[in-house]
Amino acid sequence: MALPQPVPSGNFADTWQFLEEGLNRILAAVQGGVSYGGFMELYTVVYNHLTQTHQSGFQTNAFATSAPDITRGSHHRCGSELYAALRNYLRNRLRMLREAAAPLTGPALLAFYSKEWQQYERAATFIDHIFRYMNRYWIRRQREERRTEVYDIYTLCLVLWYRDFFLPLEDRVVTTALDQIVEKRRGKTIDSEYIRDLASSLVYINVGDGSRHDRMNAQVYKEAFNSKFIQTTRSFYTQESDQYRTQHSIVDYLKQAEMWIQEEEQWCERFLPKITLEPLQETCNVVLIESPLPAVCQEFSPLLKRDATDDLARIYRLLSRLHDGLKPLLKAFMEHVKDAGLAAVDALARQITDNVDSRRYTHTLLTVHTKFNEMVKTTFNSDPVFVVELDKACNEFINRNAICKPGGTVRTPELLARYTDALLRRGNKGSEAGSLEEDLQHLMTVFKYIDDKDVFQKFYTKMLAKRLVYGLSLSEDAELNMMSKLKVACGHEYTSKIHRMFLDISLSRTFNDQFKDHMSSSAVPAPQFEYKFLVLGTSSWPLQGSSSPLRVPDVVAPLYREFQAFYVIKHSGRKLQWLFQHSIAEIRARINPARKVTYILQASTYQMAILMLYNQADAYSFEELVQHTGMNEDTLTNHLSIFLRFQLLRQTKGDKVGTPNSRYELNTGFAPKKHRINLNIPVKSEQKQETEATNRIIAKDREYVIKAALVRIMKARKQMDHGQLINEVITLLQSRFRPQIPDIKKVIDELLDQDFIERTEGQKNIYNYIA
Amino acid sequence: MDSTKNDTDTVVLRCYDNKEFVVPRKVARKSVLISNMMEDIPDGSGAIPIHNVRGLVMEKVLEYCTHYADTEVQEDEGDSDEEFDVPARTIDIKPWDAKFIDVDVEMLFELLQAANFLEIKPLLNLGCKTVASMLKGRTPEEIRKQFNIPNDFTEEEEEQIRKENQWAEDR
Repeated sequence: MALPQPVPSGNFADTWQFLEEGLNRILAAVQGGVSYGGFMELYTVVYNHLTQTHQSGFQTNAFATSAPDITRGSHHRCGSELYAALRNYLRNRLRMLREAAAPLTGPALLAFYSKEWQQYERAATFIDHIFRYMNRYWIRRQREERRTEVYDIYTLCLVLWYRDFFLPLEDRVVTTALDQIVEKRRGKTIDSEYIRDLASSLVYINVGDGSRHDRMNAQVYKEAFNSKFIQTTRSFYTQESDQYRTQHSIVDYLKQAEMWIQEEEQWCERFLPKITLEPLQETCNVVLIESPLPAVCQEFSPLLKRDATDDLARIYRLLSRLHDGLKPLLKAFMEHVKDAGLAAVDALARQITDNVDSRRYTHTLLTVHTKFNEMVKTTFNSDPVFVVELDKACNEFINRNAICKPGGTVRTPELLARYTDALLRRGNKGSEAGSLEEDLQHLMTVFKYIDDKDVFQKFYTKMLAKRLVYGLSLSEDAELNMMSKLKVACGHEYTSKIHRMFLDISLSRTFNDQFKDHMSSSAVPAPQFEYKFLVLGTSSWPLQGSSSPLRVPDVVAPLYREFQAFYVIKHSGRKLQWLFQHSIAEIRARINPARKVTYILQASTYQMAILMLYNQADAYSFEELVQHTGMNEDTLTNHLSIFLRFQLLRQTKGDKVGTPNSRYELNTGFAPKKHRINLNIPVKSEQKQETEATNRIIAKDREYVIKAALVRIMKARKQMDHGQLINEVITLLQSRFRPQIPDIKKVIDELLDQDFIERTEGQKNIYNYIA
Repeated sequence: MDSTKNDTDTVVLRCYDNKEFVVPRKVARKSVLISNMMEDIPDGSGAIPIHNVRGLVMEKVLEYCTHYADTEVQEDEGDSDEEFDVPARTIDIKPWDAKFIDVDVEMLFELLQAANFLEIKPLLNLGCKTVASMLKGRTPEEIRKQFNIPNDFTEEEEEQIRKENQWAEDR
């Protein structure tokens, strides 16, 4: 027996009756309401109805009439008949639903909507599949002919839901949902799932042309729900926020605001479509953060002063939600860091009386930087805009503070260089940070901020020269490490001199070996002591020439002459200049023949020349000393003062050192506690002079650098406006130092005098380059 | 519902002439109709009645579905929105398909009808291409003869049409 057709008659009334029963079952209970057989029967009935120009059963060779003939009137009639019937049927169902919903209010209404929607949406998919043959041919054809009132079956179901069920209920349903949300905000438990279903049903519905694009737009959702939701959110929190602020401090309010925002975002992410999140955040930002913004910003500085990092971090989090929201905080932060830096230096300045301890000074600067660097990292999330402000502030208080005043003699770069010297010297008292490497890194942190890097360079090379000449370096590794750090920070040119200094030291080592070989084969008797020569290039070493002539003491004179001769042979055309004040001799001395104690005296060649004389006699007059040593009076006076201070000599005649006829006698009672004594110490006045000299040199160097920069710029540009020119110079030189405008003007005047440049006639502000 | 996990199970298809076929689900799912239904009725059971296809034809359809059981339907063929807007890319027929579709006209017709009913697009396309190639290069008289179509034009009408389409005549 053949499988029977579900509706054998094929007339529309029977067909529709069959379909209606099926639809009833589907809409009543999608799951389990219909079996495979039921589904296939419904599909077949729709298929047969739409292809009914040929009857079921199989005629052979009937191509001409078998393909669905979409142009024939009968087919069109079949389609529109069926479409209209389905439409009416659904509208009827929805009217019944509406009536069932009429008496419901509050959560019950939402529950009803939610349940019916889910049921209906599933049924819509099912019905769409049953009527798929219609979608594939008849409906496609309609839409191709621009009959936009005809939808595919699924869309039809949703459109009807919207028009016949949602729209009549819209006010009640949406208002109820929004009321529920307010309840939830007030702390009541509600069924958020109902609201989620309502919202998602509105996203599904599209009443436009049924295209996919339309669905993405979610126009219905936006108009029917989203805008109203945003509106109630705004008015709710405007009121809540105002009220809360009248009763609580700003700090407490911010905690509350952050909590509100978090709750809203989380709820929205869980229950509402994605497109709501952005407008919701925007609304929360405006109402909860932007409107009390002035009060919040006012609170920022006091919180900084109290180090209330949690509250600060909260302000940061909240304000970074706004466009440009952090801006008002930045200046306050900068000022605060600057003030903290200045206050720390002030405190240090009050404690110290004479010399500034470079170590303490550097650490004072560093402590402030470390504290706020940490704050930027943890509290402000390493936000680049805060990093910039931190740098600005550090630059301010590191370069200009109570100790380092503009125009003063004490400057941060110098102190920093002194601290570096202390770290790299033999006998470094031990590190504060744990290791030398860390100390150096900290130092570089401060170094980064100093404006006058050229000043640091001058002092650094000076002190480096001393360490190298006197062999005071902690280690060569440490020195090279420091050099490479400077190179990284400032470039190759900055360290080129330092590099050459190290080169000279190593060349000297080789040359000494050569000289010793030479000595062993020469006629000159080998000296009874260890010796070493350093040959240093004048251009790279910041050492001053000898302050006085000298009759080289007999004991070293042959060696002195031999080395000089040897060097000239090896390097013809070079000139050796002897730096007697930088030469060191270690002299073993028994001052009192009656006592067995031997002292080791470290002395310059000048000092040695004086001391050696006392091997022959116990006392000399000033004039005798001048004659024997060949030194000038000033230098001699300085060294005698040192000996007197150490009580190695006694002045027996004359009231002041260096006065005519004054007399100096060996102090046989010389008995210091230490056996090793360094006599080659700088005289106090000398040290000050040295600093001043260095500063003078720096000022002079800067003039040259500015001049070179000006000429370079003018040569390239030929003609330039005064203001522009000054700006260019400042930009060009920024990495080395910050040129002062009066200095630049001075150099411009010089260039005008020297005819490198001229003023344009009639336009005094514009300079021309003269080739 | 995870429809793929049942793909190893079988379903029973019962044809118009009560002939039954036990086929793996994944073979049956080549039909969009059956695939949709399985999704809508996840816990369905029992034989699936196919009212409009007879056993002999179903056997042929299932041969096709089994052969392509593991081949994903290509996007340009599968997307219903563009089925007719974009002409089939190529008239080429794969060797296996050519052999498969080498059937008499009656069977070809029924296969087309079954593919249309069951919504098996690649098979429908294959059938259409085959018919197209049968039409190519034939005179109207030959086509009428082959497909048993009566000539319902008058002499004048036919002359008129011939004139209008002279440009298309293959000379």
